[in-house]
Amino acid sequence: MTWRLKVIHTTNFQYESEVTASFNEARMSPKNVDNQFLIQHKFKVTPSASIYEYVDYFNTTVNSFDVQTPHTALKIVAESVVETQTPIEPTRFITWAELDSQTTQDKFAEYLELTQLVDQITTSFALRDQDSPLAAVHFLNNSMREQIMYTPGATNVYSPASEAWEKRAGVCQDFTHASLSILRASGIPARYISGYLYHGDGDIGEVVVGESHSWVEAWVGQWLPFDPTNGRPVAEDHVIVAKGRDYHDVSPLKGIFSGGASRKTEVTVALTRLS
Amino acid sequence: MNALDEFLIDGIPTRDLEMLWETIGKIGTHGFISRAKQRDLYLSMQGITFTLSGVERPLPVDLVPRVIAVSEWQNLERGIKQRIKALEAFLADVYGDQELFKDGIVPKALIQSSEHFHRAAHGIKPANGVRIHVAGIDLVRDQHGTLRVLEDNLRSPSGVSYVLENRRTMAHVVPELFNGYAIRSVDEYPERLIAALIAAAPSGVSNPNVVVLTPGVHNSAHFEHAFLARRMGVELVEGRDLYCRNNKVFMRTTQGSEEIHVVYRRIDDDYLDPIHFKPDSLLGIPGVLNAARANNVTIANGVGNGIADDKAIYAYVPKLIEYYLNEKALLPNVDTYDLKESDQLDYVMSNLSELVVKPVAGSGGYGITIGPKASKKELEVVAKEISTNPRNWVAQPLIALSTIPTVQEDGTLSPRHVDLRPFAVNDGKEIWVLPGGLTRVALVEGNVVVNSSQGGGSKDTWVLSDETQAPAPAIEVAVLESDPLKSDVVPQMQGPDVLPISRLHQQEEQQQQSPNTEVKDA
Repeated sequence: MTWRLKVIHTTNFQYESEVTASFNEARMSPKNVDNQFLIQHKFKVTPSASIYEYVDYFNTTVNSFDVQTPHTALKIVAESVVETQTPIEPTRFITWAELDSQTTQDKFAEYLELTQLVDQITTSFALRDQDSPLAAVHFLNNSMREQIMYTPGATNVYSPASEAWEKRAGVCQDFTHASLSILRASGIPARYISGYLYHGDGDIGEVVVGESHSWVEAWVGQWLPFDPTNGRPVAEDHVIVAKGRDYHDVSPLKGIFSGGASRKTEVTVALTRLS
Repeated sequence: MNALDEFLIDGIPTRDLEMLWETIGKIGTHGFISRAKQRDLYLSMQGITFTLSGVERPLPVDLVPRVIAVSEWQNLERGIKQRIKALEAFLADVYGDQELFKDGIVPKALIQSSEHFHRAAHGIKPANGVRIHVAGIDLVRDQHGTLRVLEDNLRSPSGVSYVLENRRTMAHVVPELFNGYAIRSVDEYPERLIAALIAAAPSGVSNPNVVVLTPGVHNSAHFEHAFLARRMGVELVEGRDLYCRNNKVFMRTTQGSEEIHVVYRRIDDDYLDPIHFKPDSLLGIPGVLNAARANNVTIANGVGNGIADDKAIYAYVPKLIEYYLNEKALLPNVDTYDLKESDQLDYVMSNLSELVVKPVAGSGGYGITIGPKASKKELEVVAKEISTNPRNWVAQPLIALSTIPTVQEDGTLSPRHVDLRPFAVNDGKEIWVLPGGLTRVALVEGNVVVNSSQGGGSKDTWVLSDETQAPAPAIEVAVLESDPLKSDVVPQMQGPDVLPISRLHQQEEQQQQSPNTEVKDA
């Protein structure tokens, strides 16, 4: 089924005193990838700034800008209209032996290494006991919610997988990092997907408040997306923005500024199903 | 294993060196003691120093030069040009289409697991295609007389200022050694470098502004940064003197701002741009990487060059030369064991006491273990570290580096091990190799680590001119009276809005925390 979704991602920064210079990079532009088609993307910054757009190593569209008029608030609005579809069912599945071949391991080396955020975790999961890499991925997707309780505030944006795993608590970013760690430890290439999830009733025209979301793609002969936070497959309610090794490669907004310290940050994501 | 002496064979000077040897004899033991004092006085008056573990001291130039024959130099020059050409092609490929992976030339994992592979540099296309504006290729001569490449330095190779200064010092302190020799000049280096930097400017800029970016006076090579800026006639700046606006780079001056088109930076990638690298770096310029991506400024040397001089990639350079240039490598490597291959790892682990083991990430000679000289305990430590992470180490057979007679404290001569770092400048049309280069000498008997950061000295390095007409008129002691090194033209710019150190903040990031929901399929 095909959906048309509008996403408005608004970020408001407020500062204690005047900020004199601010340099930022936003990764908020949905990809033309897989079954997804980007129809429109608008990116606006207040105070106004000229936007430099480029495509990075991971093929993500980046909006880069600097603001050098003194300001105490910074507002960033990324507005996209995107057509989504349920991913095509994978048809090619490999065996553990095929996965272990040197060619495959070298080809996906980037998505097999641990990183600062996707660090080693101690788990009793034995994915290798499963019949195939595909079965292992399904098993993992069905098990994560027994391991981590969805708990906002238990972790922060810089928390590695191991922290959420020990606390048995976290948010989608932690579900994703922990899944990546377990998959990579079993030799299954896996990557971090950043995007949005629509969770309304599907009524056309109704605005639903959401957040940015993350999930996983695992290589089982082809890339298979799944959503461990919700223990379900990825569907037309998922909007793909960026893919990378971990959150750090895809973070929706990063930057530095000089001047007053940050006082308050507000992020809202509004999703509307258009058709 | 006997090292080869480049100067004397059975006590007799090799071809071309008879006259030099005779002059050295005339100076004699007492002569060298007093000349060494003159040299030290001269160097400290000129302020030529190198920081060794935090202590500034003169970099001692030994008073016996090294001489490279014309024919050998021609081969070396060709080999260096070939190597840099291939490494340029490799960098363009790695940060571009990555054809080499499709062709299986280098394991993908080797590149992607390197800390020097900077994904942020992907897609930056320098205006004239050059990433290796300056290279320093380290060579050693083995016991058979063959010059082998020990490592490539493609980030910020330092030491060229000593090449120029050594020649001046020698001409001042031991001018008679030059009698009867036509030696190729090294003085045109700054002109070649500025020409290459201008050629690297973004297209459409008719009169580009070039600056030299230094981490500051505490850096061990600050002397060289100031030296090059002065000799090129450009500003020496620190990160705080530059800023980006609308993806362009500007320099703060007392007369306002001036756009900068080429930054010859002598700071590491990690400190260059806090948006893409270390967010707490205060040495760099926020936004400079995207300014380069937009081709509004050229960063020299290129960002991410470290992937091409990574010690693990080194072993593949002969293969890269064949792949990109369809030529055989003219300069051989030192054999290197690939510790990711289990059979080679096994061999290395059981022969540690005969091998040299180096950390992949290290530079300046730190962390090197020389098997035959290491204690049992040191070998055990390094064995443990290798087995924990083989990717971080390379091993090579011990090479008996060639020696050259070197003046001792008591004025006598004694053979000491040397290496050679020629410098090359690429302007996009031609790769030019500075005749000679920096010869580093281990001043301690038997010491085979010759890095200046490990307490080594250097030697003036002569490439004889192939014009056979005798004496070099270029050497004129009188030139030195003007004392160019004493001037204090290091510009200290004061901008109005210098960012105070404590006030750079990282923008708060957004945790991705969409709640788990039960969504019915719509």
